[in-house]
Amino acid sequence: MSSISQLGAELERARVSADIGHSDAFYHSLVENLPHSILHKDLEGRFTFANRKCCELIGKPLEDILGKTDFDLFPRDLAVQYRADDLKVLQRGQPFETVEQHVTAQGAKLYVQVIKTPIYDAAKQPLGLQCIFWDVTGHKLAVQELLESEERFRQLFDQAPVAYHEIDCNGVVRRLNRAECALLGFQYSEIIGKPIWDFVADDERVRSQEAVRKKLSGEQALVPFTRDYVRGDGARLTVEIHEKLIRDASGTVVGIRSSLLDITERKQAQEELARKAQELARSNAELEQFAYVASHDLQEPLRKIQAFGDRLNAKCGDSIGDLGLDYLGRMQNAAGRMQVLINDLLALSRLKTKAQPFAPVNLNAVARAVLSDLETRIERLGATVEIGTLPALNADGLQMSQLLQNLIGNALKFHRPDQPPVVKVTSSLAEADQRSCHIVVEDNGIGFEEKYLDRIFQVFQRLHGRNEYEGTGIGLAICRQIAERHGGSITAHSEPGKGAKFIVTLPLEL
Amino acid sequence: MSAHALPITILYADDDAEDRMLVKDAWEESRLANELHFVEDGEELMDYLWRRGKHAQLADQPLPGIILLDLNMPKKDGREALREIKAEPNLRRIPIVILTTSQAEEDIYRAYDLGVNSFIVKPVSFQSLVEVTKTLGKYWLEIVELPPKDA
Repeated sequence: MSSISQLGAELERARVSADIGHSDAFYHSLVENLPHSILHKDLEGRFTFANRKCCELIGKPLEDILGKTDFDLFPRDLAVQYRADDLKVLQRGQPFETVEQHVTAQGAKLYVQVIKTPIYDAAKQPLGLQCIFWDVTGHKLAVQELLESEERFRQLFDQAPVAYHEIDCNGVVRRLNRAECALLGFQYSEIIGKPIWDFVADDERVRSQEAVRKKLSGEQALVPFTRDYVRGDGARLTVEIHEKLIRDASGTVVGIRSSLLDITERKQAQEELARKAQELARSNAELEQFAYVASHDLQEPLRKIQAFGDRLNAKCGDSIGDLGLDYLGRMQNAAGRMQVLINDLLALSRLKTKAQPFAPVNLNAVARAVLSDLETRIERLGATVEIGTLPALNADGLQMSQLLQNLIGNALKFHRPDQPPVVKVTSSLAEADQRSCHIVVEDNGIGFEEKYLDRIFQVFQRLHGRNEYEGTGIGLAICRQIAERHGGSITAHSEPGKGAKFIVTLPLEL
Repeated sequence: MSAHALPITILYADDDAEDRMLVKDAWEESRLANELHFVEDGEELMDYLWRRGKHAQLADQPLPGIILLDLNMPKKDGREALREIKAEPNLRRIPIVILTTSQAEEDIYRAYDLGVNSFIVKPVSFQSLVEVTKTLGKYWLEIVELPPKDA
């Protein structure tokens, strides 16, 4: 049976009984069954009474407690404190309430709330004092923990490298840390108590004010955003802000806690990057436009030179003599070369202007188509072209065809005079990452010195005179552009007289 | 050749004097008997067809049987002239052959969309030009049946 219901029974008995003897029993039961410890001491501090709860706490039966003092039962330092408090109560004649430390019989440390009251006899002479105490360790520890946690938070808040502030419902800064003072370039005292928008850039102040109102009222969600502030030294700052609503114990929103991240440099870098990218895109577009238009417009006068050269030859050939005809032939020839150069330049600019989106391309099929285009040349040269297994990849099919056509075409063109060309087209996975492949076009031709490696991939760079080998030097430049547009690269290995090996590296997944 | 009362005339619109000269030479070289007339831009082309301005005196002459049309011309370019001609019931039956330096896909698509009959890129050498005019003459003046002249 619980002490409360026992108590209830006792009270009931006391209420219905008129016998004074029952009243003693009532008080006795009350005292013995209370969850509080009750202790009486005389003027010397000797225990004159202890209820059951108190005996349990001390861990001794009543007869072992009576006549003892705090010094007999408790550690000396506690006993000194208890006695001092007792004397205070006796001297003042006033009840006294405090929280004391206590040690149980088992040695556990407790906190007890204690009320000490003086006791008087019928003649109002002090007899001693009564102590009522109960365990408040749980509460005390909770409070202590809360204090510690608050202290930890305060330290974290104050010493965090990230700028923090808290505003109340009026937007007034109620709390801020050192990092924020440093960020905004003001003293703590210059910020605390001021509306936060005092520090926001003029052109964003109204927006800031409006946003705070909407967030506090729940109209606007709290998502990270950027805001421009003005530092104490006048510099404009762009900060990224993350927020949380602050609620009181009842859950009512009482403010906003914000962390501020200086992204001024990041923003400037981003803006710079965007500006550069835009500039680059514009300059690229202009260049492509220029190449295209120039190629068309440059064709026109060339066409005239050639056509009137023809006319001159046909109509006046007899009168200008052999030397005149020779000069004319050279002029015509030069105009023809110019035309080829322009067409090549146009082809190069078309790589960008006429680029197709990437789609799955089977390089085997592409290679077969290229071979059939080159068929007559292959036959004429008595050449052998072997195609190994080639991968499928995401690419611009036309450009892949152009790439293989140029490489195989070169391999056929630069053959040794004494030997029919043998060309091998193979592929392998790139060892480094297995996520890209090498397409290798290898020949047994005249080769080249590797010191010219960089040169051969540049526009209109040639290693041979026009009399030896035809061409303008655009083919490999086109190959390089195609490889690069596909996120790949091209290189070559060769030695003069020992053939050449061109290696295109292309990513398999784009 | 079809049995028309008057032989068909050909009209060539091109602002480039050299090109007009070359086409004229090539025409002669091809030994084509049909008359070749020239206009120098799109506006003059429309005046010629409507018999206006300096071409008003042609009022009683039949319209050309074929128009050779350059695309890039001042005042009114070939594309605009083409659109106007093809929108006009009295003119839309005249076959139009584009003769231009442009090889731009865009130009080719647009010309055919507007109802052009052929698109020819001006050849580089004179000899090729002669080939082109001979072929044009053979095709349009001998093989093809053109719409009868409105009397």
